[in-house]
Amino acid sequence: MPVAFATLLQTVINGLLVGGVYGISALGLTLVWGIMDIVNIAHGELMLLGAFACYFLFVGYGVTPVVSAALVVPLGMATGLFPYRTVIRRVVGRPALASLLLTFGVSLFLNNSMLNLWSPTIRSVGWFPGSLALGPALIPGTRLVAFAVAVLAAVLLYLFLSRTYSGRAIRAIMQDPEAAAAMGVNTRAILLLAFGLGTAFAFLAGSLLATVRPFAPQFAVSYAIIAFVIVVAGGLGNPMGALLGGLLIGLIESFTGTFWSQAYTPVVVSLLLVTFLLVRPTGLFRGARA
Amino acid sequence: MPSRLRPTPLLLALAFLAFLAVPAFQDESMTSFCFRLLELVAMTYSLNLITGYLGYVDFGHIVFYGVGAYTTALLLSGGVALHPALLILPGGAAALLFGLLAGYPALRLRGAYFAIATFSINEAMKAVVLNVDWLGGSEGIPLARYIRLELTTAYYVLLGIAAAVAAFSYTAVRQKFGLGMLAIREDEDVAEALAIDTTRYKLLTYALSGAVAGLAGGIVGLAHVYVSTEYFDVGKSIEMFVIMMLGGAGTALGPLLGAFLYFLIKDFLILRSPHLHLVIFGLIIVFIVLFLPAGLVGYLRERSGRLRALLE
Repeated sequence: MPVAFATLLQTVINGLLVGGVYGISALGLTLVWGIMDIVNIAHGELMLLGAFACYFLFVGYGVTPVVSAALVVPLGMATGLFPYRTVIRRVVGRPALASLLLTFGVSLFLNNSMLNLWSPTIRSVGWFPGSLALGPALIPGTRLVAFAVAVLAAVLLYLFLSRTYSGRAIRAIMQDPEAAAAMGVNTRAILLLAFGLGTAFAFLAGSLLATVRPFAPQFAVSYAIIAFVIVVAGGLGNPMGALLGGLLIGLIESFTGTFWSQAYTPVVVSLLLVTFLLVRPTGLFRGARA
Repeated sequence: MPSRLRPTPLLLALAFLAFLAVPAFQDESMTSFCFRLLELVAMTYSLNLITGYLGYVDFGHIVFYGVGAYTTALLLSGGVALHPALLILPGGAAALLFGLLAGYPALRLRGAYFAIATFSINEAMKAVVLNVDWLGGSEGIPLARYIRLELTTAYYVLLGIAAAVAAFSYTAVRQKFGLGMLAIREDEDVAEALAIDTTRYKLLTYALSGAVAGLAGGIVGLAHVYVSTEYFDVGKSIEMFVIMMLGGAGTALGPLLGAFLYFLIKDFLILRSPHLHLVIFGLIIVFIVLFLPAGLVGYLRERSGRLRALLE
């Protein structure tokens, strides 16, 4: 039996809209990874902090997730400064073994702190902005809003990276840290800024994802893996690649769910990751360092 | 060469002899506690081979444990009647094979890329086991119908596995194979330039450490007469990493000392505040990476010149 057009359209809509959120999560990861060569294993935990911020603001104070999306960005920025200043900066330039184990320790700390404080209960932000009809399919309002906010954030980041001094300095360090330093870029301050931005995007992505689907501290690993796969697919240090990669993974996940089983998503994602790494290690799109 | 007293193998031998005496002189609860301790000791030695000595961070090491446990359980429930000590051998072999198959593509990756790939390989295997009917799905495979294994028997088998991998860790670094591993950890490109067949070394280390974890998974599954997706759970991976880092990654005594230290700290913390211990262990790992990269063994070695000569 041919697949109904409505099912197909719905699958595409669901995948693309959540893919935008995945995209900005990967943007946060790729900024940090690309500029200081540190893979932040705690990225999923940072996303969950954003999710909890959105949840508590909504449940406790009735703050609409659109407003809290704007609030979690500075909150994430400020939160990111703390781990960077205390520990992360000490492993910049050290072998992957050190930074992987260090951020693993940070993730253990954050994850279990969340489990202790807020329990492993699966929560959802009960925000229902309705939905729009598009032909035979429905566009869920939460996903549409999340997608719109994600695109807006990505555009702002793009403008920041291309139009401002600090943004250009970030890209300069990504391409060649020594040359950038020789040109008078204050590497220490820019790295701090980049880690803050990375954390802010993780917070934002987490807060948006919390409106789309239920969340709990123990989901951090799966959040992080999806972001890793997107960064690898999109090319390390390539913001546009991260965004397009996000849409792609969103679609793949959604098609896996419709035509096979949601439960097999990790299998598909894992196969994709290994394939990308082996066949196109620089990503589908050219990486910043390629 | 005059034979000098070598404290590291002596300490290892004494510790494992003490373990050997436990079932004879202690009650069942003590034996069962030591069984859990030995399980973590064996698993951490296995992780230490690939991560401590070879320098490849394997966040998904627990996948071998699961593969071993499930292979053993499937054979048993499929009607293969063998002594349990023999039944775990195919489990180890399956883990070895899995290591060769998964390692062949994965080990072409380095650093963070390898670490992430192992993470996701484990998640994928867990999803497969959870969703394939003949693998028991979310209900796992109960084994009590097929076997009744004395805890003491399982204990001695596990002790054998732990002692063997500890002995291998100690002797390997005195031979070409172990030195090759260390060379790869320090600088893989230089190692390759020095005509070390890095691909073979890496693949062998990965598969061998996997086989050890597979054997351990098999015997633990038989002892608990039940296997489930818990055998792919990242929780145990976390414990292994904490123990390895506490004791000293890339040292022969590290996993053993680390396991004792881990349980000491864990018990101490649990008495004061349950569930908080993993928060503290997260901080401890951060501290170790920054200030004591070689853990307790490294700390003791730094403290005094004499200990440096004694501990490995």
